[in-house]
Amino acid sequence: MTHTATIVSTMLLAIPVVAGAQSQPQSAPKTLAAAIGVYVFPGDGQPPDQQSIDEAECYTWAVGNTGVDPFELQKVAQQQAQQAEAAKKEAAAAGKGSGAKGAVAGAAAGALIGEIADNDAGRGAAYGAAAGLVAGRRRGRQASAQAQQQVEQEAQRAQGATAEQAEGFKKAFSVCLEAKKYVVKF
Amino acid sequence: MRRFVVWSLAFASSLASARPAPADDLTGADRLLCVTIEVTACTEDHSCHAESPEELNVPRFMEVDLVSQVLATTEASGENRQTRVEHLRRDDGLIVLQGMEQARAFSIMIAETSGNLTAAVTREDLGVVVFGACTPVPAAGGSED
Repeated sequence: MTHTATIVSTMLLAIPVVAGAQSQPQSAPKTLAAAIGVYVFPGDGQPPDQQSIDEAECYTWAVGNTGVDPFELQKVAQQQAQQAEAAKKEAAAAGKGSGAKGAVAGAAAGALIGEIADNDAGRGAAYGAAAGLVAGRRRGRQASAQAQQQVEQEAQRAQGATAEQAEGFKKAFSVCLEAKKYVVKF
Repeated sequence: MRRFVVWSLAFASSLASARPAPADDLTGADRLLCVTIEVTACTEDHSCHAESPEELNVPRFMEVDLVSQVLATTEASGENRQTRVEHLRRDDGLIVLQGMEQARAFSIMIAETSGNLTAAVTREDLGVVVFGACTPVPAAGGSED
């Protein structure tokens, strides 16, 4: 009976501790490594202050070694995404309104068959204009699709290059921290 | 017997006159005069519309010279337009004329036994279908003079 009472009282005492731990959100400051997506564990029992100092040193070393600053890289990536979006819109807009130019061209003269449906005074002009508009729109759509495809390819290439640079930086950062006896994963 | 023959001929004649008027037979003719009856224009994003020949600058009358392979407007029209036929085939009771001119392809089919003409003139995004009829042009010097 005494043993049971000890267990219960221990559990009752433990509840507020657990509840308190759950109610408080973890507001630990994000480390430099976490900010760039690298997980670092102090393998040699280094205190947090020392870990911050080591991460800062390794960050500087990795920037100097790779020529890549992840925070600058993020800005560049954002700019590239914005530019790609703007270029896509521009490419899409280029396809619109291109029918009118095609409609102006298409004058023909001097032949029995060649003059059919190309009479300026009759319905031929309207049909000619309609046909020109259709052809122009078709060409515009093709040009627009090609331009959009190029923009997307360029954006993908830029994204790939950025990801490659970020990967290189993380490797350098990790090598430095591992040399300082941290366990690192990214 | 003689009365029977006369009545038979009269009966046959009445039957013949009851049929629709026969169209022109073009068999063996080398020059034709064709008239445009109906013109329809179709575009890619529009429905087809019937038009008058003048609206689409299709000649009302057209001379077809199967020997020199030339399509031409009549002298009386004052238009002086002509087109060279690149491919001519006369087979199985049909005359087929095809060619291309100023970004327009044309294909004309004339039935020799009826004289009916069906033609298609196509350019980018526009098709013009022409229905007409043709008659042989008497050879030069064959008049009553």
